[in-house]
Amino acid sequence: MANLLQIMRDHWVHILVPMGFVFGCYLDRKNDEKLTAFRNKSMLFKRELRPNEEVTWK
Amino acid sequence: MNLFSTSVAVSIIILVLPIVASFTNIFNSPNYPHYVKTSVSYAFTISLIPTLIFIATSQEMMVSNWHWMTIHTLKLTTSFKLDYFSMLFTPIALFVTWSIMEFSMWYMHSDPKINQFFKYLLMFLITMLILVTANNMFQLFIGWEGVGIMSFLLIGWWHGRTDANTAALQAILYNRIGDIGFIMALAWFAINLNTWELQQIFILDNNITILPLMGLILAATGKSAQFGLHPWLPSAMEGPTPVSALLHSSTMVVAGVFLLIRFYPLLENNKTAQTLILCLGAITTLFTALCALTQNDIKKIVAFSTSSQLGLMMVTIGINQPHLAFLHICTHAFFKAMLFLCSGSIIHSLNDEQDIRKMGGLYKTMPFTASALTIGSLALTGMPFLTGFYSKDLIIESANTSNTNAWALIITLIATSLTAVYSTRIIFFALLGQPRYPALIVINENNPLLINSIKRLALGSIFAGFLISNLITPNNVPQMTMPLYMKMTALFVTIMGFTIAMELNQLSLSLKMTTQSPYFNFSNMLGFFPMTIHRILPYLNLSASQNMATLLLDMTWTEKAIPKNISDIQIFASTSVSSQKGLIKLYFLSFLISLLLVLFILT
Amino acid sequence: MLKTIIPTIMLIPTVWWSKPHMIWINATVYSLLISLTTLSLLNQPSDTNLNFSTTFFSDALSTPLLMLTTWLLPLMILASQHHLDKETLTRKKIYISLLISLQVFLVMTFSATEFILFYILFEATLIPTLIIITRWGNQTERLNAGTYFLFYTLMGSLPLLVALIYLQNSMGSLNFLLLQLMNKSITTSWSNSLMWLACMMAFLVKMPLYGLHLWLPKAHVEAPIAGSMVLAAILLKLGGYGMMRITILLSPITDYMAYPFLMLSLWGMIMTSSICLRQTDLKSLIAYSSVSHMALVIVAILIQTPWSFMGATALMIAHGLTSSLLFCLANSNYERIHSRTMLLARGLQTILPLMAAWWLVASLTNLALPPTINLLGELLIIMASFSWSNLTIILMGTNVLITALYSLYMLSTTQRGKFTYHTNNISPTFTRENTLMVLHLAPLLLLSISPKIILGLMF
Repeated sequence: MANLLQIMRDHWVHILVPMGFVFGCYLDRKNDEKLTAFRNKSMLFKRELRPNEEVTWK
Repeated sequence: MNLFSTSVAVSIIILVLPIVASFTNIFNSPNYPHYVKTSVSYAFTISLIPTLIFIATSQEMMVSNWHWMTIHTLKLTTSFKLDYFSMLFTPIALFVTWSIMEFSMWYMHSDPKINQFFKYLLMFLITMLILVTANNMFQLFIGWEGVGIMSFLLIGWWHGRTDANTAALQAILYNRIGDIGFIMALAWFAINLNTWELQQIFILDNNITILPLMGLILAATGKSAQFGLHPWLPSAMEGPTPVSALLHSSTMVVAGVFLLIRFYPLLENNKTAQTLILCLGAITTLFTALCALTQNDIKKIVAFSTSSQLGLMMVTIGINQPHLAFLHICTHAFFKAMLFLCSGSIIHSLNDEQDIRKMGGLYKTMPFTASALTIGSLALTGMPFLTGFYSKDLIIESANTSNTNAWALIITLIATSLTAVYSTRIIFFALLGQPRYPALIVINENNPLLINSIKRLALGSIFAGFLISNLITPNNVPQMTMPLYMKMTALFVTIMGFTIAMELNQLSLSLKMTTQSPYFNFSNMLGFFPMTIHRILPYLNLSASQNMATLLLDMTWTEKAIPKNISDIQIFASTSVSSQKGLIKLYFLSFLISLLLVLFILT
Repeated sequence: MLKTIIPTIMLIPTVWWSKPHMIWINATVYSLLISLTTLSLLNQPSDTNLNFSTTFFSDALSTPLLMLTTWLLPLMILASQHHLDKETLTRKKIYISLLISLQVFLVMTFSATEFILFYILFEATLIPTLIIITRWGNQTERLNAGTYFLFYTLMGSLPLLVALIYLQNSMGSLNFLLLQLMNKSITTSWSNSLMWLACMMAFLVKMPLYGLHLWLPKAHVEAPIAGSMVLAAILLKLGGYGMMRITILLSPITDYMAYPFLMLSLWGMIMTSSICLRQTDLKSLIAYSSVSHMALVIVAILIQTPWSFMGATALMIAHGLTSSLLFCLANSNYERIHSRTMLLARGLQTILPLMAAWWLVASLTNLALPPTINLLGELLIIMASFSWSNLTIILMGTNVLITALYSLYMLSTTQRGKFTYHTNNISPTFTRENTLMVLHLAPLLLLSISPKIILGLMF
């Protein structure tokens, strides 16, 4: 355990670039969702059901 | 399904293995040359299989292998054309290379980098085989440039020597001029016929304009050292003798002629191209034969002899006999390589003496080499029923009986007799008479490597012509009947050349030349071609690039045009408009005082 | 694209906060890993391009250039290790940070969707380059070189800003993807011709075109090795990339406006090759060789046929790798004898045979030996210009000839011949230098197996 602490104290810089890559991937994926939000048009035109209303297509 | 393509593939794999092995440990051992030599001999044996299949059943094959890419409508694959030309040339090239490699094991024995030498020879052989088996022009271009670069590396083998480096660069220069023509042909074929594959070119249109054919002729002129682009071949003798034997006699220099032979369906229909090739070849063969008459370096004489024979091959293509030209390529390889190996043997034994005026009497001290040299020279001049006879005599007969340019024909005949003259000169000065070399040299030709290699080539020089011409089927009707004087023309001019040369040599051996004859000067100075062209053109080019391009345009006018102009205008504008004298303290003080005054007054 | 840009930005703090003995290793290894991330861009959906967001996209033209950019950063860092040896730690870190920030700007430039963003980043790449040239160059002329570099490029690109703003107003959007679909031809009037000039001048100066090329030899020669590498390999290609993108908008005017520049390029190709024959300065020779190759690319882009675009893209990538390799080789010479004169270090094949092998392969790729991609690019361009006009084959052929001559002249002068008497302290080749050469050559030679990747948009 003391060894692990030593390793972390010495080599903490190595986490920066991989963290950057992970963060970049995450942001890219969020952006993808923004770009592809309208692929499912029926989700776009949906609205929340009011209470006591049933779906109209039954 | 037989073993045709398999054996070709196996022989190529055998050849590539030593190159791959050069990255492993065997490259550092002294056995590597022997390994390479035996690989080449095995490849030769296996490559005989497809050749024999071809001879027996006339089977030709085109293998289209790996799809490299398809650019729009142009499909590029690695395709191999295993037909009459490549199947006959491959075993011959491998046989000659085998002998040359065995010879190099003796010749380059004391070279510390002998392993690299063998690797380069093998890489050259592989690129040459790529060239002859190529079915599309891009693959041919790969082989074409490959042999050019290997030639550069091998001519400049002793790279500490300035002359070797200059000769290597000269070879690349002349080859590149030819490459311009090749690229033009490539471009024309891709644009007009939408292909680089030979089959499609020949099917689509056989009656094409002269433009791509001019490109191919220029390429052949550069690679095969025709007149105008020829000086690199004698200069290439700076390389070691095995290099001269392999590249500059049997294989690389015939690549240009081979290209024209490959395109014979296109050349058949174009009379202008044929006449051009005929005249070019005729001029080459006469000019280089003239230059060979007065040379004193044995390797240079054989180099000019090669050049002359290349001209003869071009003449053959010019009279529309591509198959005869190919036959001459095959037979020429044997005796020319052997002539070079014999010269190498003489040079090494005489302690690196290359001047024939300092040799003599070698028929007693080096009998084997002397007999091989004599056999080679006789085969070269076309002595009946040796190798050269079967191709050379047929060429002269066809030329005599065909409807060609009479002037070209006459100078070809003169060149044929000159062949006999300079061959006599070599034999006379090197072999006959009393020794003119220092007496303390130990001459020993008793090495099995040397003897076996020359012996094989000697057997080839004697029998190969007979074997090949009996085994192949003729492709066009040979001229059977002709008047006696026409049939005996080649033999007659050759014998005349022999006798006149022998007489002249005997007469003038102990005479000294006191006045300079202009004909001697013309021949000795190689027609003054290198003297003028190698001085004028580089001088003009380099002085134009220094004066015009560098100094005038780049350093003066372009500098003046934009940077200096802008800076001068700015400086002039700012100094003439502003009337300031730079009294910063005064300006700041006045600004501060007026600001403070305003502040005081307003508050 | 953020998965490339953000790690590269994070590389800067990594370098600043690393231990002193680890800065080079960290920078090199992480930049190599970042170059792996660009490999995923090769997976392009056919016919369209890969859109990451409304600001970044990558298509078949920008992908090879992006991969080249990210591949070059570790090579630049490897090459700079020796000459920064004597500097203080902070200066080393500043240098590496400058290289990394240049990389960030370049990646964003090549993947920009919108023209104005492209322009801003195009100008932004000038700043780190200028600092590298003028601060870390080796001779006094570096200040002059920086001035020439900056002002030539600015003079070309400021009209581009005006033209872009005008186009934004008239077309409504400068998004590349929309522009490809909006394709309307503009009228041929004088003001439109001026607009064509304004658009193209920036890229022509960057390429550089023959008459406007004076900044290039100065900048390349005075820059330190990383500066020369990035200038030759990438920054010149920015011009080509921009020209290929903007010619969509300029449709029928290019037909007649391109003639003077075509003539200048065809003539300049031969002029600059001839200058190479007479150079005594090794880096200057390689710089002029770059001008000559780029003139071929200009001819290809101005002819505007599918084959010529393919040839232009292939030649850009091939020339980037080859030129950078030649500069590294010249630098290995410079580090040993501290002079750029070719004649002072000759006959090196005798003592440094492996380096001579790299020199040989570099010269062979420079003279476009088959089947490398250099030959493929040049051949496609020569074929396209042959079909445009048969007479250009004479000029192109002369260029091919002179290129072969000066490449082998450079090889013979530095490697062959007798070794000199006066140099007695040539140190053996470092593994780092050998690695550098191999990392340049491996992509170059491997691409000849599958050149489809670099053939760009029209394949």
